[in-house]
Amino acid sequence: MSRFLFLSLPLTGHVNPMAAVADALLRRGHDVLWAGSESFLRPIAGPQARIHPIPLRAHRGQAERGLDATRSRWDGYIVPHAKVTRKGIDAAIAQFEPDLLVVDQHAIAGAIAAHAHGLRWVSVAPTTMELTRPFRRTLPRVEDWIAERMAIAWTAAGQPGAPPHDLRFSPHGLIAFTAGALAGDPAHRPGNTVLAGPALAPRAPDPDFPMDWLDPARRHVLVTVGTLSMDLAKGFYQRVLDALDPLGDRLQAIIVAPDGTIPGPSGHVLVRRPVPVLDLLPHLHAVVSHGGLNTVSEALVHGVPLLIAPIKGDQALNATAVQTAGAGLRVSFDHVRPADLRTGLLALLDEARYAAAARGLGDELRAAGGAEAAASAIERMTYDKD
Amino acid sequence: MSERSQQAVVELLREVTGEDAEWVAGIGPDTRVDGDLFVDSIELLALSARLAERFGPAVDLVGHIAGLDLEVLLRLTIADVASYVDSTGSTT
Repeated sequence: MSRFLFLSLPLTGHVNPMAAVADALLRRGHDVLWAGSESFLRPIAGPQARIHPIPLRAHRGQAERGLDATRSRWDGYIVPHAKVTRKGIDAAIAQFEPDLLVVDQHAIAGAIAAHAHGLRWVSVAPTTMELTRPFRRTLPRVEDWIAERMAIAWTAAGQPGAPPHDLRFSPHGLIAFTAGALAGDPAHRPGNTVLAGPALAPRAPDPDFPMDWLDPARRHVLVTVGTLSMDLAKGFYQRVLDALDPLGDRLQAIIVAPDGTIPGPSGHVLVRRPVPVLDLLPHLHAVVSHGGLNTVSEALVHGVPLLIAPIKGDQALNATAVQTAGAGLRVSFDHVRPADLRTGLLALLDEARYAAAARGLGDELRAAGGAEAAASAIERMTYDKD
Repeated sequence: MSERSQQAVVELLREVTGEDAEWVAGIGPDTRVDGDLFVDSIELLALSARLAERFGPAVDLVGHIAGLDLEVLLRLTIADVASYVDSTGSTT
């Protein structure tokens, strides 16, 4: 039996797959401790999870788009988060004496603590962006700027000199929740990467969701742009509504947004948040999405093709991979017109090749093994004193 | 910056992003490539290839922006890209 300390950031898309891996390790008889915000982690990690609480202040709003989003992700979020969590992580290590740290690539305080305490650790890739680092190839000075941010966090933690390597990449290994064509070019990721595919765990049921609203005679479409601010999503959602408007005879759509934020949806459109996505996916025929890795993987595992309007970060990479594989279409988030959205959506619903390609990518993802494969890799990385 | 190279940059950007005439109409010399148009790194690679096709191999946009710092990239405008094309001395 081993002890694993899990470190991430309070971001649902990052913690969901890590929680599935933590569960797999617990079932194998290991001990898992999380260090982080208990109010955030508890609903995801579950009532049985052990959590070393680190109270977190709400962080400043982040820029939503382009390189400005990259800048604020590091300057406004990752580096301050490292500073705020460092002492709590040290305390958790002292108390729990972990054999291995399991560290989100963005939770760089975990990487620093592993070095400071001489502990083995494994990195976990939350996005395709951090897995493949496209900036190295197109905008190398941006990659240099990110390296400077990590050096700043390293120095602020009282560590001497410069970080011994990129803090996002443990020398002991990297686990990514993707696989196959979706994972990009193998040459773009480290040799010690384990592609585990999506780590899905059953989520708390949503007894209030009106599953009986779904009419089996029509097809079903989910529309979600993740946790994006409604300000930015409004224009896109309006165009999606216009695209859906004349299609009530053949489909029903569920739009993930707080009730009341989208004015006057038609009878065949349901606006709700939250939505039990994993429970709904077996009933869906297409997903309209921003292209976040979790949404894309979950749809593909269920053989559901995607219409993707990428907004920032790795979403464009995911959208291009899906389109290239024939499992969906990429459109412009800012400019796609309702008529083009409608044409694209109907193509996904009417042309069997899209669903067939989605099932193909889904098979690749499932074959990677998911949470169990990630748990096995973590066990190997704990004991292989290579 | 010449009018001609600016038009070429916008037209090729329209091609690689799959946008339309209405999108083009909203673009001026001061429009920022990242901050306003949200052109991503995949699209930049495609734009660079098209510019080299149009103006000749001396135009290496990817090579040029590889030397630019984050702060400069955040402010990079259509006029900046057109001026770079002009600076290579390439013509159609």
